Amino acid sequence: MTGYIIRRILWMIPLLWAVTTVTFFLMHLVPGGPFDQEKQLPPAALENLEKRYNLDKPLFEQYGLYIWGVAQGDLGISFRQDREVTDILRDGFWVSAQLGLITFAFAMVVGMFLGVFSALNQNNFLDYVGVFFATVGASMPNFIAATLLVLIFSVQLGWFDVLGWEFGNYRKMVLPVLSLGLLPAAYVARITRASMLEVLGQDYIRTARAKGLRERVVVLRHAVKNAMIPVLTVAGPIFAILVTGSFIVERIFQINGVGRPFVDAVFRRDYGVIMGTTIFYATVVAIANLVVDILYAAVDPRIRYQ
Amino acid sequence: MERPRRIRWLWILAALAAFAAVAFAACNGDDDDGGDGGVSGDRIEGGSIVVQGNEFDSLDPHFSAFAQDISLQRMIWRGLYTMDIDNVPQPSMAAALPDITEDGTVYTITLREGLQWSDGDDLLAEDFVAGILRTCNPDNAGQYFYVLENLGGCFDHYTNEDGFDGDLENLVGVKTIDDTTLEITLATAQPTFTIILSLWMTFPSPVHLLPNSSDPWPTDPDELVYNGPYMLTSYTPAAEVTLAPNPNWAAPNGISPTLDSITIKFIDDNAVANNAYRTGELVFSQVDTTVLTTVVSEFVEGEEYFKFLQPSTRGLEMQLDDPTLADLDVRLALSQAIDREEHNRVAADGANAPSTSWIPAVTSGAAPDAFDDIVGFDPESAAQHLADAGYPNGEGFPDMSILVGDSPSARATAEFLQQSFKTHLNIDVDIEVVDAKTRSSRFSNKQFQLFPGGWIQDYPDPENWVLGLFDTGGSINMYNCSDPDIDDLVEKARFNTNDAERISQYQEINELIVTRVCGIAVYWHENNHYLISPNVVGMRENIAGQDAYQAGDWMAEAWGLSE
Repeated sequence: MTGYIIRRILWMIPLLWAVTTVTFFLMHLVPGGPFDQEKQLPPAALENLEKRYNLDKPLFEQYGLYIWGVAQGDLGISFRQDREVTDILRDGFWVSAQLGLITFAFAMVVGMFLGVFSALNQNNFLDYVGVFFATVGASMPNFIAATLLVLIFSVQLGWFDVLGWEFGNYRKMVLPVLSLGLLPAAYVARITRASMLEVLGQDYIRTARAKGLRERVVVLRHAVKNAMIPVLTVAGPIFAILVTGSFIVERIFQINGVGRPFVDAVFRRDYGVIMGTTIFYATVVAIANLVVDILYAAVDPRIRYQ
Repeated sequence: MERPRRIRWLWILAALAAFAAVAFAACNGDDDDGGDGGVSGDRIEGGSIVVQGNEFDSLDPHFSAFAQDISLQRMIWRGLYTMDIDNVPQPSMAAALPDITEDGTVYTITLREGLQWSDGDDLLAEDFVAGILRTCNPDNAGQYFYVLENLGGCFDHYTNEDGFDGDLENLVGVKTIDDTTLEITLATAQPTFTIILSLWMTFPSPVHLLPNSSDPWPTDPDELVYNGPYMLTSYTPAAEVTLAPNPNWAAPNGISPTLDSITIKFIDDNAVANNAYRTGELVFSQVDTTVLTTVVSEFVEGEEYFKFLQPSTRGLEMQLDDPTLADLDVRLALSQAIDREEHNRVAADGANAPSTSWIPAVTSGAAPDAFDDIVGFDPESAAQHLADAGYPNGEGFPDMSILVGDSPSARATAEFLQQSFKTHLNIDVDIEVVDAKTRSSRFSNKQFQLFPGGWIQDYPDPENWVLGLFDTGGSINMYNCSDPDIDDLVEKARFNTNDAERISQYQEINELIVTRVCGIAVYWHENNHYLISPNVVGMRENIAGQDAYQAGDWMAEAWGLSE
C-alpha cells in the first residue's frame, strides 16, 4: 500500500505539469489581456504595465519563468490585486474549506440518510417523499436555491444574514450550507438508494436475516457498509468541488472564498490567479481521488493495492 | 415496529407544515421591511455605518485607474486642491489657489500651516513633489500619467525605454522651494492644471516612509499614513475595509468626521447588496438597475431612493475606417433610427437620461436635447439619409455587426438597436457577443464596426471629453475620428488661457462631434441610483457624481448618522 501511495503521489508531478502547461497556453490564446478595459489606456501606460508584470517578454520565456517560480512554490502575482497568489489562495481556501467541509458533512449525512430511508421503504409513500426531495434538490440549480432561501429566510423572515460567512455564527452559516449542499445531498441520496436496493437484494442479506439478526444490524452492519462503495466513489469529487469553493454561492452570500476570485480572474484575465488556482484545484482533486482509492480498501477487504 | 413508523410520519408532517408555512410567508409577506421610513433628524456624534463598495485594484493613487480605487483613496488622502459641490477647485492642503506666472507655466503653491500625516509626521512640500514624481516614474506604470503630460519632463521620464532614470526624474518640472512651498513648471500654459492638482495622481507620498519614487506603495493599512479625513484601520481582501477618523485631518473645509467608523463591504452584485440593505445589514447600496422599476416602487424617491446624474455618456460608436461607416449619411441614418426615449425604457428600465450631446451640460457641454433635430430620432430622415448613401430602403447595405459584452444590459441595447435598424432602415445588423476583455481588446485594436460604448469623466472640464478621444491620431480615438475642423479647434482650445473662449471652443467641438457623428451616435447620459438609509446624513453628491460607488464619497467626512 505504501509503495502504491508513493507512486500515486509521484504521478501527480507530471499531471500537474501537464495541467499547468495546457492552462498557461490556453489562457494566453484567449483574446484580451489583463489590462484591456472599457476605458482605454494610452499605449505608453500599457507598455509600462506589461513591463511591470513581465508580460512584455516572449510567451515561452514567460512560461519558463512561471514554471521556475512554481517549482520554488511561487504561484505568481495577481495583476488585479497586486498580491501574491499564494496569499489569495491561503486566505480564500480557509473560508472555502470551512464552508465546504460543513456542506460536505451535511450532504453526506442528509443524502445517505435519505437514500437509506427511501431504500428501506421502497415504493411506498416514504420512498416517494425521499425521492421527491432528492429530485427537487438535484434539479434546482444552487443560484435558484440560494436566491429563494435569501428572499424567504433573510429578507422576509429575517432569520439569517445575507452577507458573509462567519464560522460559529448560525445567522451566516445556515443558508450558504443549504444552498451549496442541496445538490450534492440529493445526488448522494440517489446513489445511496440505488446502491442500497442492490445490496438489499443480495444473498448474504437474505442469509443474515435468515440467521435471525435484528433488522438494525442487518441494515447497518451488512447492507449500509457494502452500499458505501459507489457513495465513496462520488464522495471524493464532491469533497473536492465543495472545499475548493463555489462561485455562485460565494457571490450570492459575498463569501470571501477561492471560488469567486477564480471565476472573476478568468473574466479579468488575471493570469496569476487563473494559473495558481488551477494548479491548486488539480492538486486537491488528485489528493481527493487518492484518498478515495485508499478508503476503498478500508471499506471493501477484497480491494488490495500493490 | 409500528410506533417508530408513526413517529416518522409525525416528523414528515411537521416538516411539510413548516415548509408550507415558509412558502405561505414568502407569498404573502408585504415588502414593508425595506426601511423604517425614518426621517433624518439632527446629526449625532459617533456611530458606525456599513456601506456597499467595490474592491479596489490598488491602494496606490499614483498607479490607479479605476473609479472604485479613487473613491476610497479620496477618503484617506487629499491633494493640494479639492473640487467643491459645484465642481470648482478649492484649496485643500494648499493654503490658497496657486500663484501662476503671467505666461501660465509656473505654479507656486504654499501649503497650509501645521499639516501632519496621520502618524504625526509633518506633511511637507516634498511629499507632494514625491507624489507627482511617483506618477511620472515608468517603473510604477501609473495609468493616469498622461494627465501630467504637460508637466515639464514627465512624459520623457515616463516613456523612457529603460525604465526609471534618476537624471530624467531630476528634469521633471516639480520641486520644493522650502518645507511648505513647491513650484511646478509646465511645458505650456494649461488652464485646467489646478483641477489636475486635485486628482489622485498628484496626492502626496510620505517621503519619511517611501524615500524613493520607485518604492512600492504598501498594502497593509498599518504601513500606510494618511492625510485625508479617514484612515484605513483594517483591510480584508475581497471582503471589506474599515475606516476610522484621522486625528490629524486638517479639515480645510471645516468639516470633520462624526462617525466612529465606516465599514465598506466589497459587493459587486447590486442585487445582493439590495437584499442586504433590506435586511439592515447595509445603510447604503447601489441599486440593481435591472429591476429599477421594482426598487422605485418599493422605496420612496427622496427618502431612501436617490438618483444622481453621472458625468458619463454612452452611445453607438462607429468605426470610421469602415468604408460604409465612413459615409456621413450612413452614420446620420443610424443615429436618427434610434428612438432614445424608447431605448432607455426598453433596454435600461428608464435608468438613464436620453441625450444627443456628447459633453454633458454640467461639464459645460450642451443640453441633452440640443442636437435632437439633427441626429435625434427621425425615421423618415434616417431612411432618406440611407437612400442618399446609396442604400434606398436598405437595399445593398453590406454586412454589419454590433460588438457587445456578455451582459444582459449590453445584449438588451444591441437587440434594441438591431430591431430599430431593421424597422426604420430595413437593414440587418448582426450582434456579436463576447466577454468583457475580448470586447475591450477588440476595441483597442479597432476591430469593430458598431460598438456600444462611451466615456466617464475623469475631471470636470470639457477638455477631458475631447483630448485623445476625437483629435486625429488621439491615443484613445479608436473609432478614427479625423476631422480638420475638430483638430483645428482642439489646437486652439487646449492651451487657451481665456477660459470663456476655451469653453466656447470645446462647445463647438462638441457640436461637431455630434452633428458629424464623428465616431459616436450619442444616446444617453448615465445616472447613479442609490438606496440610502433615512438615518444617514451627508451622502450628498456634487453637481456631477463622479463615480457610481457611494453617494458623496468625494466628501465622506460629511457622512454621519442622525437621531
